[in-house]
Formats: sequence, C-alpha cells, structure tokens
Amino acid sequence: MEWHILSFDNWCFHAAAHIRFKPDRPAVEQELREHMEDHFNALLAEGKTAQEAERLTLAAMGDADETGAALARVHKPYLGWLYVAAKWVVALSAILLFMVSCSSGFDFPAFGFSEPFPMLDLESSSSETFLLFPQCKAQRDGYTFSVPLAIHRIRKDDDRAPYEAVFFVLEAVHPLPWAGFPEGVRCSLSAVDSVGNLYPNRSLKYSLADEAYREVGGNPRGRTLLRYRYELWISNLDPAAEWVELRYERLGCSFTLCIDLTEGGKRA
Amino acid sequence: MPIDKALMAGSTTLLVLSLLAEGEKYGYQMIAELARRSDNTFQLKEGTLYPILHALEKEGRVKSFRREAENGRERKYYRITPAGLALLQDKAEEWRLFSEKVNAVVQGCTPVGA
Amino acid sequence: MKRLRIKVKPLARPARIALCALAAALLFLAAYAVSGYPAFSPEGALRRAERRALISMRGEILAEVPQMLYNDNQTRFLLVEYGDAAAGFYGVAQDAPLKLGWGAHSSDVFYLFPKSAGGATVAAYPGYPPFRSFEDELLWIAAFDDFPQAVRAELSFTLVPSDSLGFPDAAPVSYALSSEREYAGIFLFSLAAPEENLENSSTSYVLQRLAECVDPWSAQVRASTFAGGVLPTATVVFYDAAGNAIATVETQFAEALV
Repeated sequence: MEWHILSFDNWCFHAAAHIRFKPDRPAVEQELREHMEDHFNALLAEGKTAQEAERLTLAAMGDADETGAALARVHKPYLGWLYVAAKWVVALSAILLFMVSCSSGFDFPAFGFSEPFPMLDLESSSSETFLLFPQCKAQRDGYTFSVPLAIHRIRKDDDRAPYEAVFFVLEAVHPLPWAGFPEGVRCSLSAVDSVGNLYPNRSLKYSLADEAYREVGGNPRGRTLLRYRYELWISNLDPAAEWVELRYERLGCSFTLCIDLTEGGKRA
Repeated sequence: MPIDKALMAGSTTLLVLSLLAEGEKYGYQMIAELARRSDNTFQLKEGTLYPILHALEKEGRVKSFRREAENGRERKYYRITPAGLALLQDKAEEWRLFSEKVNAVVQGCTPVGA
Repeated sequence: MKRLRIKVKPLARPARIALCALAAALLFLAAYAVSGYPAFSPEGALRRAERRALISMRGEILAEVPQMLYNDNQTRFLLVEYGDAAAGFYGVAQDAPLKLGWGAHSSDVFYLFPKSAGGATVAAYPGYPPFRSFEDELLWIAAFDDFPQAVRAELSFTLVPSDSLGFPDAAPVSYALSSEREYAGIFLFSLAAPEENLENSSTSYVLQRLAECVDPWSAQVRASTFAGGVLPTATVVFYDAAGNAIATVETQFAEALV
C-alpha cells in the first residue's frame, strides 16, 4: 500500500527551501522524500504502527533547517542563475534576429556564385576559345586576389575584323564577412600586355561606341561569406600578346596579377 | 552507549565512502547498513547524509544515477569513483594514525582511582 | 517487440551554459549578417569604405555634416583629407534595420579626388544620398585649404555648357559664393537649386554634372557637358580676421581619382 505522508512532504519542502536556486529544489526534495518513505516502510515491516513509524522517521531525519542549511552550502545558486541568464540571452538574440529579418522584409541578399559568363557561347564555331587557370595571387588591405578562371577568345570569322579578348573571374577573399566588395578594384584596374599595349579602365572611357578601344571592364557577380567575385574582361587584345598583367595602382598602393595566355589552359 | 556528536562529525565522510567502496547504494540503504554493522551505535541524523553525498558528488568523489531498487521503486544510487577511492585511502590512513596515537596516549595513562 | 529506450544523459550545467553562449553568439552573428553588416558609427563606416577602396590609408575627418533625412534615416556627409595627396567625400545613412548601425549592405558612397598644388582644392558633391534631380537639395562645394589664418572665403566660377548639349538656353552662368570658416582645413559652400523650370534648363543639368565630377563613372558625361571637355576653373579668395585678402587661388574643379 502506498502511503503519502504530508508531514514528510513538509519536512522535505522546508529542508529544500534553503536552496537558493529554485529549479534545484525538486530533485533534492524527491530524494529526501524517497529516503523517508524507505525508512517508514522499513518500520512498518518491523511491525510498527503508521503513526509510530511516521514519528520515528521524522525524528531520525533530524532538524529540517539544519539539513537545509547544509544543503544550501553545497548547492550554490550561481551556475543556476548564470544558466537562466544564458537562456534569456539566447531568447533575446533569437528575437533580435526575427525583428531584423522582419525589418528587412525577409529579403536576404543573394548568396553564392552562378556559372561565370553565361552569355558566352563556349561552343561557338566562329570563335576559338581557350580556358585558362592562372595561378596568380596578390594581397592588398586584407583582401587576397586571384584569377581562378580566364577565357581567351579569338574571333575567327572571315566576314568581320579579327578580334581577341580575355574574359576572367577576379576573386577576392577577406577574413571578415563585413569587409564588402573591394570596389577600388573596379574603377582602378588596368592591364598591360607583353607587347607593351595599355588597356585602361573602362571608367576612363569617353565613348561607348568605340569597339577598337582597349579597356578593362566588368561587374561584381555574387559573394559568399568571405569571397567576392567580379566578372571582368580585357577587350581588343593584341594577337601578339603572350601574357597580360592586371595592374591596380591608386595613391601609392598597387598590386599585379599575371595571366599567361600560352600555358596552363585547355581548349573549350 | 550514544556516541558524542563531535566524534561522529569528523568520520562521516570516511564511513560513507567505505560503504560505497563495497558497492553502489542508495541513501536509506547506507543508513541501514551503517546501523547494522555498528550494532546500532552509529545512528547519524539521516538528513545530514545528503549534504555529504551531494558535496562528494560535486567534488567528483561519487557519481549518482537512478535505478530500480530491490523494493521495486526507482531510487537515486551512488557509486564511488577512482577519486573517491583515493580520498577513502587518505581518510582511512588518517583515521588509523589518529586512533593509534589516541590509543597510545589513553593506554599509557593509569587512572588515579584504579 | 520491445521498444528501445535510449536514455540521453542530460548535459551538465556548465556545458549547457557554454552551448547557450554559442547559440547566442551564432544568432547574434546571423542578425548582424541579415542586417547588412552595419558599422557602429559614421567613422567606422568610413574606415570600412577606405579598406574597400584599397588605398591602405586612414584619412583625417575634417567635418561631419548631418544631411537631410533619407527614408527617415539620419545621414552624415564626411569630408576627409589624405595628407597632401588626396581628399574624399563620404556619405552614409543610419539605414540598418531598427536603426542600429550605419551603411548597411554597403549603401554608402565614397569618392576620392587628388589634391591640387596651389594651396586649395575645390570639389563639388551632391551630398548624400547622391541626387538625380535637384529638387529641395543643395549642391555642396568644398574648398580644402592650406590657410589656417583664413576665416572667410569667396568662391567664384563660371559654368560654360558645351554646344553639343542641345539646350535652347545654353549660356555661361557665373556664380559667386561666400562662406565663413566652420571647420579647420575646409570651407563649405552650398548652392541651392535654380528656381526656373528644371526640365529645359541647362543650368541645373550642368550643375548636376559638376556635382558628379568626383564620380569615376561619369567621365564620359563630363566630357560632353562642359565647353572644350574641360572642367571649369574656380577662383577662391581667402580673408583673414581683419578682412584682408591673404591668398587668391585659381584651380580646376577636382575630378575622380582612379
């Protein structure tokens, strides 16, 4: 038969009440109550009456306040309070994220890279196309620049004037996600080829219609957490050029990246 | 003959660890075993057992887990850890030295009225 | 079949606290990313813009001017100096979600231009955000000067539109502006929109193009706006506290540094 003795509950409640961090109390109360039940049942088994067993059990437990004070010295509240505070911080951070997302209309900026140069028909029969994988790298202001892919395109259509260009992906990596696109590169990047021709930046171009004009131009095309990509081109390349060197120069800061047009590539 | 509380207080940890060294036990089981072995001489206030057990658990000397006891109910068991065994050895050695020296002093003193 | 009861031992409290701290940090970083990585002050936003501009320099902020409210957001217009080599204009708004930061999603603008050698550099800027029409907005002209004893300056210039513009009213227009020194190192002049009809006015068109001279992408338009494809020249006269003219500098309006 299961006994539920109110005086046991009271004793355990009073002892556990000394524990300052409330959520720690139920487990201690339960353990003390189970102990008293065991003692009570043992006394019943010896032949004692319920009343006698209850009295003896309570006497054997001692003073609830004395036990409670000893328990309070062991069960310090600080980690408990810290845990409650930590849970609040998580909740507030989640609310902040939700509010910020609402505020921006759940319109998250696009992430990731799409296929480079989708408008280029690599299978075109009127042009020869070579895929190059330059191994150049440069660093500036925490950004690491590289050219993972370059497409050397030679138009060999008999009806039109010969024309060569290099389309390339410029990738910048920065360890801080809030660095942003290295915009300086877009308006200040120029190129020089092995023959000595200069390809100035498109920002200096005065006439859009001049196809014979040599230039370096392009646009930003996507980012991930730490990587930024530009799709750029060098137009009207000299057919005699064996390499082109990209040059960035502004207020005394500079870097270069070399694209070798003769090696390290494959025909598309 | 009831034992002076002050004498009991210092040895409770040693007693508890010794009982657990023999095997896992839950609270009331330790009280009952202690009373049985000491011919009911040691009847410490049962409430004081749990602060000791909890303190030992916080120090890593014992570990607790819930399991079904022989009375069919689920109880919180305690098991001694290697750190607990090391403490037990220290305490036992301390006790042995202490009691040896006390005995040496007591046995060497002849009562005046004898 | 007996159901497998896998008992997962609850984590210790210190471990739970550590996990909460980690979760909070990740959520906070996600909130920061979603809000567009705003900077915490206009100066902080400027430093980031300087890094993006790849110039390896931190400029001296000569003035921080509040501009008009933009979409209910506060804006700031910073005038920055990079030694003797260059100067810059930087515009940024407190446009992060919940107005918690500046320049979210890199919505700021940063223009650099070289300094002239004559002791004064004159540059025009449309304020922030860069306008596309002149209504209710001012054209700012800054004169970065090397005359610390000057307390007043007078700026005059004439805008001569190119013949190729095709405006029926195309004619040279002269301006004379005056300014008291508010900030060390610069004088700020402002020009309000002309009152006549904006649609057919070459005046407002030419003024807007003047304001875009510091924009590297407006080179082609600039060339076809001013007579001879040359930027107009400004004359700045500096006066000391006694009213004496201490220097007169003639310099071309600055254009973008590329």
